[in-house]
Amino acid sequence: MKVQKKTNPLVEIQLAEMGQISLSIAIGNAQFGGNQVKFTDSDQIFHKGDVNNLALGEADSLRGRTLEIITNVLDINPGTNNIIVTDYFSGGSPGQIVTTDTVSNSGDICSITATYKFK
Amino acid sequence: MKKLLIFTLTCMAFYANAQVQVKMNDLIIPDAPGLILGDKAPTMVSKPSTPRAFSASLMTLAEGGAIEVSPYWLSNKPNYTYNDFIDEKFPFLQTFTFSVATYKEKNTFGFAPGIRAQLLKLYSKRGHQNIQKKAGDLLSLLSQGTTINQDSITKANEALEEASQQGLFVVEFAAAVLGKSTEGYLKNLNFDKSGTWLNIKWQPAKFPVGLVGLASYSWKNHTSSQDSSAMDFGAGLKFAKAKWDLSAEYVNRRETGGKHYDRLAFAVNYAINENIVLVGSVGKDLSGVNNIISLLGFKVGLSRNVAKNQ
Repeated sequence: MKVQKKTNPLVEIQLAEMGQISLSIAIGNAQFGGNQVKFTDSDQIFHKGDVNNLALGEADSLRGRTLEIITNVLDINPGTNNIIVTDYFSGGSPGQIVTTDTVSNSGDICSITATYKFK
Repeated sequence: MKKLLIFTLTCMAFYANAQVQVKMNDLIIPDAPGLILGDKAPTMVSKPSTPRAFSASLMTLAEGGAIEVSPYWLSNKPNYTYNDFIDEKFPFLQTFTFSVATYKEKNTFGFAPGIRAQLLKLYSKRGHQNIQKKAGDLLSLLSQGTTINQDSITKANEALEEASQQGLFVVEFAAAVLGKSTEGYLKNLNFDKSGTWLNIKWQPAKFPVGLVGLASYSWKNHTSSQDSSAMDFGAGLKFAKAKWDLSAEYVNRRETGGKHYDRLAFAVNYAINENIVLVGSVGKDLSGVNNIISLLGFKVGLSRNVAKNQ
């Protein structure tokens, strides 16, 4: 098993004027993965596991904060070694950020670190 | 040492003899089904996942080998998740593969393209629950940020893979043609043999007995006198404990022309220690005389070196 690390450049998310901001993460290509979500200004882990309509907070309370998401994807699909992860922000723009990569062999892990600054 | 070598070779000879019999694994369609028509088995099937890798793999076939590609997965499917695949009852597109197998034999070059796909895939409720439990374990391990425990993830992945084969009913289809040439790679190929296979498997959840059936039909393209068809079905049992495992299988083949063939075999492995395993098997080919299949021997591990990732 090989672990391949990928760090995405910081992306700024323009939030709506008001309202709840939520996050969903889709791990495509029938691969298997898990997520760790945390704000960089806190030592606490905000969420672990699947991320599906995870409420991050009100727009006003999120402005100026940075969110770090670590998604570890295990290649279990014998049909492809391609990895694709999509982070969806409801109430933010851009609304979705796609990360792609390719691992060498089935059973390898692609570890993706993505950071988002809310504005 | 010399005696041990002779004993081992003797056991291997008996084992090779036993391999002539139709076995449970023969009832499973292999990755590159075209090679069945040439009575060949590929040592390794290359599985390129990009169009570029597929093109590169094609170039290597001139020396013999096999590649298999899943067209559906050549482009990314961003919203098709693992759970979607598990819940897919008709995974024709997702499991459709196109394969090309080649071989060289004296002055003959064989070229065998084939296709394979699952037509139906159903999990029992218990099987589905078992998958969700193992998937939960793996999810937890992969959700620890930069802390990646590779050993635990490997074990959890193996457990999930094993669970995904339990409580499972699958119908799979395959077809292939075989072309031969005596003039070189891809020159004036004569596609004179074709074959189709339909495979049905049922492995109950948390139960050591599995059932498998295979219907096969192959024919010569330029004559109708050498068609052959067979209907195979079998049942296999596997029971494993820490130091020993027991397996048994029954295979029944009915060929066109009324030929009938049965085989019943038992095998046991007992780990005496880390490096020595006592192997025994006994079986019976029910169709003929001199038909007892037997094997008793040791499997000896010769190296204590552990391969490590660099």
